[in-house]
Amino acid sequence: MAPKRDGKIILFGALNVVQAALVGAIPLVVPARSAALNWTLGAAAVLMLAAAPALVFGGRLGRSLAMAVCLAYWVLGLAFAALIVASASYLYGLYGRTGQSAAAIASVVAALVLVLFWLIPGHEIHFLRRRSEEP
Amino acid sequence: MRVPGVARLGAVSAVVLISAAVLPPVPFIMAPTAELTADDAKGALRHLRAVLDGRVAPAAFAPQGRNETGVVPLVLTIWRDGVAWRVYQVEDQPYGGAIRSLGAEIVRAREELAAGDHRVRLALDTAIAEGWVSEGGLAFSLAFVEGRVGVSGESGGRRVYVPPSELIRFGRYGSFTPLPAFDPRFKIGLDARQAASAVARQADQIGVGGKASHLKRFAALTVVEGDDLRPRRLLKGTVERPPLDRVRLDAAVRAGARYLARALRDDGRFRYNYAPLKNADVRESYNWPRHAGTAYSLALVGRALGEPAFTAASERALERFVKQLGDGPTGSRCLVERGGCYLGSSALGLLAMAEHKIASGSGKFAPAARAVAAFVMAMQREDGFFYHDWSAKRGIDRASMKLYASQQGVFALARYARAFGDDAALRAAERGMDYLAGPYWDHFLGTYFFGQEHWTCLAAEEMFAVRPKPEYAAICLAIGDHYNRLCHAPGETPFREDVGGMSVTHMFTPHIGGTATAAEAMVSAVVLGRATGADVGPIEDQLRWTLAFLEKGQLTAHDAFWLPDPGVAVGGVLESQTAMRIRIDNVQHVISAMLRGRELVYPGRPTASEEKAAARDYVVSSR
Repeated sequence: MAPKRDGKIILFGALNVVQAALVGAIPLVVPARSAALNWTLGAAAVLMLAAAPALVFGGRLGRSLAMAVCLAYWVLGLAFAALIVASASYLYGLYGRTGQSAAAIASVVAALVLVLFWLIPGHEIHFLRRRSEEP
Repeated sequence: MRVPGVARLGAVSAVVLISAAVLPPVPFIMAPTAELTADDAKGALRHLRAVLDGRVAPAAFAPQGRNETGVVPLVLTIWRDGVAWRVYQVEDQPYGGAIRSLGAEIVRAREELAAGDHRVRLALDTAIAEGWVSEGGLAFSLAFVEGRVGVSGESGGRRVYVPPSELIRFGRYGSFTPLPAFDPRFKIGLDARQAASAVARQADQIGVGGKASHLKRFAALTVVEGDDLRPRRLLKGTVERPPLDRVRLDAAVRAGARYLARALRDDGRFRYNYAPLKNADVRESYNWPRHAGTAYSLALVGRALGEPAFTAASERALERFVKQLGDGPTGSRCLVERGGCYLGSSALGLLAMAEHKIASGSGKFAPAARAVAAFVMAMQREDGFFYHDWSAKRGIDRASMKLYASQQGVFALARYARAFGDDAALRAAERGMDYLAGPYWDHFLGTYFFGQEHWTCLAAEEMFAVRPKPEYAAICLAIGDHYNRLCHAPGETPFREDVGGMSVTHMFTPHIGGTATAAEAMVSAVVLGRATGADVGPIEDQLRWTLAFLEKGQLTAHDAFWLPDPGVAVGGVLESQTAMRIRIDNVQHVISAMLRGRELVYPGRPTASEEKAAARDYVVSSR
């Protein structure tokens, strides 16, 4: 008889699939001119997709893999947000009033990027850490 | 059971995402009043015209068994010499009865109309669906799709209907300020106070009077009589058009250039911004870069269509431009505005002088062009980019940067180099283009978006002809691809008049001038893509739709029903289908895009008889 699985593990596994779909859609909906960037996002989506079955079926090792992918998303989100903020400051400095509007929009985009890359992985990291601390 | 926090967040996110997907169509969900087609409405308008001409009696109308039970609100406007002379409304009868009642009203007006020699056209608005609206605020403003949804309200004991065309006429759309603290100039939708005021005004027109209350919205099916009296559907600000082809495209370019040539005043300046429905100028300060850009396009069209009158108009505008020049740095000359020189104004003047030389072969402006080219080159930085402002007092302002100016500088120098054979200018243009195609976009967001980069593409195309560097083609192809994604393809908007237009979602009416700049860039992208063997099929498809969209933004004789002076307005290009203003730069960008795009997507030349037939669409009858 197969062991009974934790409902929360299954929920996070499903959320990993959602997260992978969201990130994987970026290069399709808003492709970057830089192919490297599109491939990076595609690879990130594949990793998150792989994390889903790993988390649900992979035991301790699988959970470690999911944790690593979530941490990578945090780093990636931070990097993207920082690059967008840097771009915003460039536009702000370069184009006066118009640049200010562009910078304001870019700042909102940076905030949305953080939400996209941090929200689900953040909760998953929190959940997995608490779980590993449980006796 | 305790719901995990992440599940709650997920549920909220899902609701937000689903709402975002579902909400945009919500404003269009209304209860239908009648199953009427545009052909039904056209049939009714034909009947009303026959009544007006005394050919049939009002009672002769039979709506072929349709809608004889449900109430269909109707508004009939008699336009006399471009002015709404009489407005009639029937809101409490089935369709056939309502049309017959309107016919009876027309009979009463007939004698008065027959007394003078007037241009009379009829317009019929049918409220085909109605829906509720909230009291005010953002939800209210967004419930009114510009040019498609009108407002009704109770006034003097009746429900009074204000058709979308009336809201367009009085500039009521785009009146709500959603973020007053952030940007009071940003306006969208229909403001509730404006809506109430429009209802009160309409109530006066139909002789009801009184304050407006209990506002609702309705979807309108509007048909109007064209110049030939044939009923046509009004789609936002202009009437429906047949599919675009080369013949119609050439006629549109010629009509646009004629508008600009007519708009040139005796003092050499253009009628800058004209409100055709009011037959009045829009009060706005004169813009010299747009003056110069307009002179450029007149020379461009004059050469391409073999019309010396357009080149002559360009010359007069340039004579005025040259008068405006003052001393710049290091013996150069530049266009002086507000005590200083801005690169963009001088660069576009240089571009126009170069185009005039290419069109006419005349070296009349050679000394001025040399002096202005010296100014543009004096403003170039070490890295190829440009400084944008200079004044005699402060010298070069190294901090101030403005949109487009550097791109205009590169394009102008390249075109000037071609026209006058100046190698130094060509080298400067090459350094500028190298920067625009490379370091200029070296920031993270630069990989995701472009601003309005039509000048970059025009410069790239011009430079590629003499220095075929792959990066010039690559940057313009990326820009063309970007605009291809921003412009609506068929199926991407529920409003067929907006297909081809560039807009953020279908909720907002596309800006015609902005779309024209995208078309200009896509034209260059197709040229450069073909030269480098890239697949530009999708951009070509979009270009066809976009050129058709632009043509719908131009006033023809069939739109003259509400133009007090069609002789001035016809050929002009609107700011948008719901913002009835004709600014010279919008006309300029549209005719330039059409002219350069026509060979790419509609090759072949129209015959003289085809040209003559198409030109009739821009000639207004006196009656």
